[in-house]
Amino acid sequence: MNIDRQTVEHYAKLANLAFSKEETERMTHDFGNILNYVAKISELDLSDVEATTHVFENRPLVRPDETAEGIGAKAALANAPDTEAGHFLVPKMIKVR
Amino acid sequence: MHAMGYEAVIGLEVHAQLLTDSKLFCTCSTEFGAEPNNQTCPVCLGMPGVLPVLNDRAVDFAIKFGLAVDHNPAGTSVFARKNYFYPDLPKGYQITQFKHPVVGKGRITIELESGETRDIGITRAHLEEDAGQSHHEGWPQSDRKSYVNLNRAGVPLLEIVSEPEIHTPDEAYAYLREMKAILQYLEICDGNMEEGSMRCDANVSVRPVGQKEFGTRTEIKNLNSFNNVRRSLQYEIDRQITTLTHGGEIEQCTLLWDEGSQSTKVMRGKEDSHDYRYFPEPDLLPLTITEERVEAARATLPELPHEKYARFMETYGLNRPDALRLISEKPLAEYYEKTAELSGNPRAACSWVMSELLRDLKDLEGGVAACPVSPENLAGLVRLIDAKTISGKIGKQVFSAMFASGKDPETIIEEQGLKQITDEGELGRIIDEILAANQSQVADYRGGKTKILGFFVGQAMKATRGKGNPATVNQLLRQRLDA
Repeated sequence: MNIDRQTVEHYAKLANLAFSKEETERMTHDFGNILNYVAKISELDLSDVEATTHVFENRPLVRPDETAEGIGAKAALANAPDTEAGHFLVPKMIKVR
Repeated sequence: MHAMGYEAVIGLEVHAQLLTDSKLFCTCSTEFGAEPNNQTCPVCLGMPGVLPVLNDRAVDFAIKFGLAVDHNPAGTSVFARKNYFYPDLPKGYQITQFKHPVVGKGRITIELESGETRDIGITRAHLEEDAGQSHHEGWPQSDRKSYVNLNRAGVPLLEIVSEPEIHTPDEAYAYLREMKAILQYLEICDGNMEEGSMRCDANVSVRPVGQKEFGTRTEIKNLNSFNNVRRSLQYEIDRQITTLTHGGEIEQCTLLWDEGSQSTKVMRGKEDSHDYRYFPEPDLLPLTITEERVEAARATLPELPHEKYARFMETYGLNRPDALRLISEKPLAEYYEKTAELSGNPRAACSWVMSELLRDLKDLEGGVAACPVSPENLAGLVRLIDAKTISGKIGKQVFSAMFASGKDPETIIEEQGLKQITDEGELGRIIDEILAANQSQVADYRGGKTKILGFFVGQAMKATRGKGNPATVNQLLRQRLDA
């Protein structure tokens, strides 16, 4: 399976990654190889196997609606590069034209 | 249908914040108003290596909602990751549901002001976690920074998607009103659009009447009041029709409603439209809801808004607009019903609630819950009027005093000496004085100008400061004048 450069650039953008031209070339090649490897599975005849999203049969872990103390704002903000008044600060996001 | 040969096609997405105590996938509190970022933990902060554990009560709420919109949610639903980058989404993905939502196709019935009813299809409703909150204005560095508070991150939402079967802003309004009532009656969401516990996005397109294909649609985001939904839809429909009739094309984009200018503003165009790369959430197994669980939930379903609506009209003889208004908010419906039962006069109770009570509640923060007049006291007032202890007119005066003081009507009538005068001797003396002081009018009356009776009644009511029993006053006047 061949992946073109535009596809790699599109997914790099969605993943917030910046690749150099060489890296993009390499990724295009590597992605193709990975997909070819995984494509092997389509050789199996699975027409009578129901599609699943998970391989386990047990039900999900659920919990009752009970609260517990969180870690608090101080700890939550401890690793943040920029904070003020108990908030995380990030570059201004909203743009309206 | 639109006057210019176009019709609008509207689909609404409602995000209902569920009234659980804890978040959807962790035990942090959902309580509103905490210090910023204080209700957070490694799970909702998106720290590496953490695992979500589903809040079972949120599932119960979704089941109830499904049943209320005529859908049986038994079966399996699957959580999915919706991938995008935004600073208030710490994991870089939102856990939501995509291909297999917990609630599938259903419908609700809306009623328009004309009395016409319509069924609007529900496409689906799914459980998902809320994002955090970003503040863009009003802070010291707001010119270049946004402020992020993650207390809301992970709060459970039910996203309810309607079929594109809504055609006018009024229908959208009626849909949201019904949706809010359903959520409130189920006690799964408080339905407050102004405070953001119920949020609405609208997809809008227009097409020539008779055309089957949809036109290019735009999406209006974050509408925070019922009136803004109606206004922004009308604005956007007009804008699209104007654009098309002038030979323009509609650009697919996301819009924000700007309250200041009462217009929509483009937030992002098609070129930035998202590619969310949904895939099944590997950290959560599929959620299976059994028939037994659905039936158990069905047994706990309360009377729903449209059922209460029908019952109010039938049991209490209310007219349609009054019944519709009363049932639109659960606390108001309960207030009314209690007053109606205790007063023994449901129609009078309705008229007091609809006019005096709702008028005074407008200026009161907290609504019906904070009302200083209890249903017991309002019912007492209705009974006092029915027993002719006071007149209806004095009743309004008593009501105002009740609303201002919270006192019961008997106390106010006693304190202000408002009890109706029915004693014929006392009224007779007052009337005799009035007749003596107005000889020429008496002569006019006896000469045939009987309409002047109203003048005497007015004088008598003035002399008794409104406390004279009108029927007795009338009767005594006639006795004397016609003699």
